[in-house]
Amino acid sequence: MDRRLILTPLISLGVLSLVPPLLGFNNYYLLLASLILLYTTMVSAWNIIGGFAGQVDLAAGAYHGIGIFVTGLLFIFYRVTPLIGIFLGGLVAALLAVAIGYPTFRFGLREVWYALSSLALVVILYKLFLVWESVGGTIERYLPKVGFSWFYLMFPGNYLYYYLMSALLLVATIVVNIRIRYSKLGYYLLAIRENEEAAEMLGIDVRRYKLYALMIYSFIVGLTGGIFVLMLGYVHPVLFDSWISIQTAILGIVGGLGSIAGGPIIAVILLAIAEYLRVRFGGYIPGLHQILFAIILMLIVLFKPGGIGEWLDSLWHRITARRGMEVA
Amino acid sequence: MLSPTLLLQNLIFGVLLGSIYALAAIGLSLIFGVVNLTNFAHGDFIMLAMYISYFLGVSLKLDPILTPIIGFPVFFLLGIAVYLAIFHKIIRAPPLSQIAVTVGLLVLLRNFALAVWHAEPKSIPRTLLGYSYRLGSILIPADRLTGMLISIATFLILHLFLTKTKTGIAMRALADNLDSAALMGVNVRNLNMLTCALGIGIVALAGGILLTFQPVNPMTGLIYGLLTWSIVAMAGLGGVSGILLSGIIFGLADAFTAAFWDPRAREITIYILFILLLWFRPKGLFGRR
Amino acid sequence: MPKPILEVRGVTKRFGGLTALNRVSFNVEEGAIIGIIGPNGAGKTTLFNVITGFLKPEEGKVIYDGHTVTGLPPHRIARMGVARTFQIVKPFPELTVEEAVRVGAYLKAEDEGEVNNIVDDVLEFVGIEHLRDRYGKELNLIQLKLTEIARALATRPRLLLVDEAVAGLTPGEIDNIIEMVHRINRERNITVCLIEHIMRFIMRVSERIIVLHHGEKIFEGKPEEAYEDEAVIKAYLGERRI
Repeated sequence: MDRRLILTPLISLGVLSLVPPLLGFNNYYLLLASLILLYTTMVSAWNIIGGFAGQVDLAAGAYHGIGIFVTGLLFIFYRVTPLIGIFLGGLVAALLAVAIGYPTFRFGLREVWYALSSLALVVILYKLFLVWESVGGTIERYLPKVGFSWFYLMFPGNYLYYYLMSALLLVATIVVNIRIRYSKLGYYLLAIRENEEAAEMLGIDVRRYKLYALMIYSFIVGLTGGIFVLMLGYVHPVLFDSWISIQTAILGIVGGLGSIAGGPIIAVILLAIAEYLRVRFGGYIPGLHQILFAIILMLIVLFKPGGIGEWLDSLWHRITARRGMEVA
Repeated sequence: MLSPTLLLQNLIFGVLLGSIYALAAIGLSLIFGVVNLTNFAHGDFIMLAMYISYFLGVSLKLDPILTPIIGFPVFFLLGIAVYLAIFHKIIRAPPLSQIAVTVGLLVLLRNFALAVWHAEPKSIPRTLLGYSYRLGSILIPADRLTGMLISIATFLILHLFLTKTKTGIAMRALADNLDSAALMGVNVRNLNMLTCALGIGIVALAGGILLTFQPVNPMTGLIYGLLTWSIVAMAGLGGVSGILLSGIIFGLADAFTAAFWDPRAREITIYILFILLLWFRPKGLFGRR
Repeated sequence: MPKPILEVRGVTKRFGGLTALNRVSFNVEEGAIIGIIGPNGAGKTTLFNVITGFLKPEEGKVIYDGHTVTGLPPHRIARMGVARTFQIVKPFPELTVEEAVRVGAYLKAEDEGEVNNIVDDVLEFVGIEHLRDRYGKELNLIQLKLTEIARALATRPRLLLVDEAVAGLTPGEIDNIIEMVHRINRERNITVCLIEHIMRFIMRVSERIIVLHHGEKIFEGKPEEAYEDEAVIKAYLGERRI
C-alpha cells in the first residue's frame, strides 16, 4: 500500500516528464498536452464521486467554470496572485458543491435526479454569469498583461510551466485517489456505491461521506479551472461548458468506475486522439471527437460495463502483489 | 412597469408556452413511466424535430406548423428504430448504464445536427401564423395559440387512448408497476416499443410548433432536455393532466422571467425551480401516491 | 433478572391505510436469543426496520440500552451497537469478502492494525477465510449470508438482528447457521434477535419467541407453549399446514 503511494507518483511523473522533450518543447503541442492533463485530472477527481461513491455527477463544467472565474476575476479586479486565486477557486467550488450537495443528499436524491440537477447547475451558472454583467456579460474579460512573472504565474509564450503545473496536479490527484481508496473513507464510499442501506447499517453516515467525496472532487476540479484560465488568458460565461461535464463522466465510466489507473490512462489516450481529430477533421466535422467518445461510451457500457480499468486493475494487482511478496 | 396589462399579457404568454412545453414533455413522461427508461437524450430528439421541420420548411416550402404531418410518422418510426437498436438493451440495466448510454445518444444527436446544420441558430423564414390577435391591448400570437390547441387536442386523444383502449390501459398498468389483469396476455416488449414510438413521435408535433416562434441550434437539445425533465419531475405520477399543469407552471416561470428579469435568465428560474422541487417535493406536485 | 437491552414499547407503523405494526411491545434481555415468527406479511421485517431506524413509527418508541432511539438514523443506531442482516441479502458485488468485512470493522476500530485484526478474527469465526479474496458477485446464497453476518459482526455489536437467515438454504446449511447463532451468543456475548418463518428452526435456537400476526403480538413465551396456544395455532400453524 505504501509502496503504491511512492511508486505511482514516481512512475507517472517520470513518464509525464518525458513528454515535453518528445514534443520538441513545441509551445502549441505543450498547450494541447497541458489541456489534456487538466481534463485528465478532472476524470481522476471524478472517480472519487462517480467511481468510488457511485454518484453520476455532471457538474464538472460548473466547478471548472467557478475555478476559472474566481481565479480570473480576483486577478483582473484585485490583482490577487493566482497562487492564491487558484486555491480560492477550488475552495469556492467546494463550498458551492456542499451548499448544493447538502440538501441534495439530505433529501435522498439519487441516480437520474442527481445527474440531472448537477447538469442543470452548469447551465444555471452559465446563464447567471451571462446576465450578471458586472462580473460576466457577453464580452471576454482579459487577464492583466504583467509579462513573465512567477508571482502571477504568468509565462507568456511558454507553456512548459503550465504543463508542469498540470502534471503535478494530475499526479497529486492520483495520489489522493490512492490515499482514499485504501482508507476508511474509500471503503465507506465503495460500500455506499454498492448498497446504501447496507452501508447505513454498518454505521456509515451515508450523506456525510457522499459530501466528503463531493467536496474533494469539486475542489480539485475548481483547481483545474484556475490553471486553465492562466493558459486561456480571459474569462467568459461560455466556459461554463456542459461538454466538460459530459466528457469527464464519459471518460470516467469508460475508464472503469473506481479504477484509479483506468480513468487517467483512457483519458490521456482518448483526449490525444480527440485533439488529433479536431485538428485534422475539425473543419468538416467539428464534433468528430465527441462522436467518437459517445460511441466508445455506448459500446463499453453495453458490452463491457467494468470499463478498461477492470483488467488494468487486475494486472496492476498481480504486479504489485508479486513485488510485495518479494520484499516480504 | 408592473401594469395589470403586462401581467395579464405574460400570464397568457406563459399558459400558451407552457402547454407547448407540456407537449414536448409528454413523450419523455410516457417513456420514463411506462418503459421505465431514463432518457437523457429526449431534448435532443426535440432539437432534431425542430431541424426536421426546418428542413421540410426550406426544401418543401412547408409551413412549420404543418411539418408534423410528415414529421410524426418519421419520428414514430425513429422511436421504433431507437427502441430496437438501443433502448431495449438497457431497459433492465441499472440507472447508471441508462444514463450513460442515453448521454452517448445525446452527444451523437447533437453532433449530427452540428455536422449537418452547423452551429448558427436556424429559424423558419416565415409561417402563415406570424400574426397576432388583439384583445384590447393584449396580444395573442397565432402560432402559439395554434400550438396550444394542437397540444390540448393531443392530450385529449392521449387521455382517451390511455383510459379507453385495451393497449392504453395496459400501458398505464405497466406504468403503475402492477402485475394486474390488464397485463394478462399482453406482449410487454411490443408495448414498450409502441410507447417509445409514440413518445418520440409526439416530439415531432412539439418540434414543429416550437420552430414557429423559436430558433434552433445544436445546443437547444440540452435546454429542452432539462426543461422536459423538470416538467416530468413536477408532474410526478400525475399522468397526462399532471404533465399539462406542470408544463404550464414552467411556461409561466419562463414568460415572467423573460418579461421582468432578462430573457436570457429563463433557464435560471426554470432549473432552480427544478432543483428546489427535487429537494422539497421529490414525488412531484401531482403525484397520486 | 437481567436488564433488557432492547425495549419495544407500543410501536405502531402504518403504510397508507394498512397497519403493518399495531402497538407492539416486548423486551429483549441482554444475552438472550429471541425469535420473532409469524406468517408472511405479519410485520416482522417492518419491526426490524423500525428498530434499526429505517422506518419511523407513528406511535410508540424503541429503547436500546436505556436510550430512546426512535427517530435516529440507522448509522447512529449501528454505532450504538446494533447490527443486522437483511431478509433479501444486500451484498457488495464489486467488493471482495475481505473488503466487505473491512467496511464493518472500521466502525469501532481505532487504527488500520485493529481493522486487520477484526477482519481476520471475524472471517475465521464465521468460517469464510477461504473466500477472503472472492468478489460479492461470485458468491452463492449461503456464502452471501455468511458474509453479511461477518460484516455485521465486524461492527462489534451488542445486539444482532438476523432477518430470515435460513430461507432458501439446505438442511446442512441451516445446521451450520444454528450452530453459529449459538456461538455468536455464547462466545461473543451478543444478544440475538431472529426473524424466522420456519417454526422448527426457531425451536432449536431461541428460548423465547414472539409471534406476530397482522402486525399484532399474539403470543410471547416458550416455543413449545406456542404449539398449544390457540391464537397461534389459528393464525400461524393453521396456515402452515396448507
